[in-house]
Amino acid sequence: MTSRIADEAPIALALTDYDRAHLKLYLRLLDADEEGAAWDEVAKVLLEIDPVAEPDRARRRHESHLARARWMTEQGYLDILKDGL
Amino acid sequence: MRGAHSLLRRRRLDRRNFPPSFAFYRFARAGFGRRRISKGGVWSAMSRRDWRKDADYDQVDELDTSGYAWEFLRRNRLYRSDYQAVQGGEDGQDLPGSGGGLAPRWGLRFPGGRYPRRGRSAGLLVSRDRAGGGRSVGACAA
Repeated sequence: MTSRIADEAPIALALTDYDRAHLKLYLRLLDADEEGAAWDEVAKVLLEIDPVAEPDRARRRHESHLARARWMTEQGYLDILKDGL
Repeated sequence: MRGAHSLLRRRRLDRRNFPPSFAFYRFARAGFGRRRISKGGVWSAMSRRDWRKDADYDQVDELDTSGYAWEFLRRNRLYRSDYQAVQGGEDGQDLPGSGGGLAPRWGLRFPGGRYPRRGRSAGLLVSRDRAGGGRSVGACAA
């Protein structure tokens, strides 16, 4: 279902295959953020990384994926409409 | 015969990806409304879903392109405040001070002309790039 989660989400200007494979993850990240959830809990539950064992990596993974998820709400959604899933 | 007819109809329309899948309508009903849209409107539906639970997002798998696009757009805080600003306005076309209306600002048009309201369904959500050709890319409903 969800393919492996990278440490860095894409920063490309257009929707990537990685994005397409992780759309549901992005939605959940946005909902967690909206709820005000702690980043380490989000990393553990959604990003398949232990924030205690690898705090820096976990934080980087969380920040980059949340940033990409926000990009989806600003630009990426238009790419979905134009180019499909 | 009705079944065969609707199947043909669906297949033809699916090629244009319009209207949205029935699954999306089911999703919209379940997520946005549960029959009654609460004070928070369509946005409050998001908070009812627990991001920790896989099962709460099962229906996302059934979304088509317009469904996914809508799920992201409605999580955009600026869009939400724009939307709320025009609610009660003239079909969402005249956002005060925007100089162009809500839909163009977000790269969309809503050929149905009306934003989702309580107990109503269907404002069409279309990418502006394709709007000129009159070709619907998708739709959103509430």
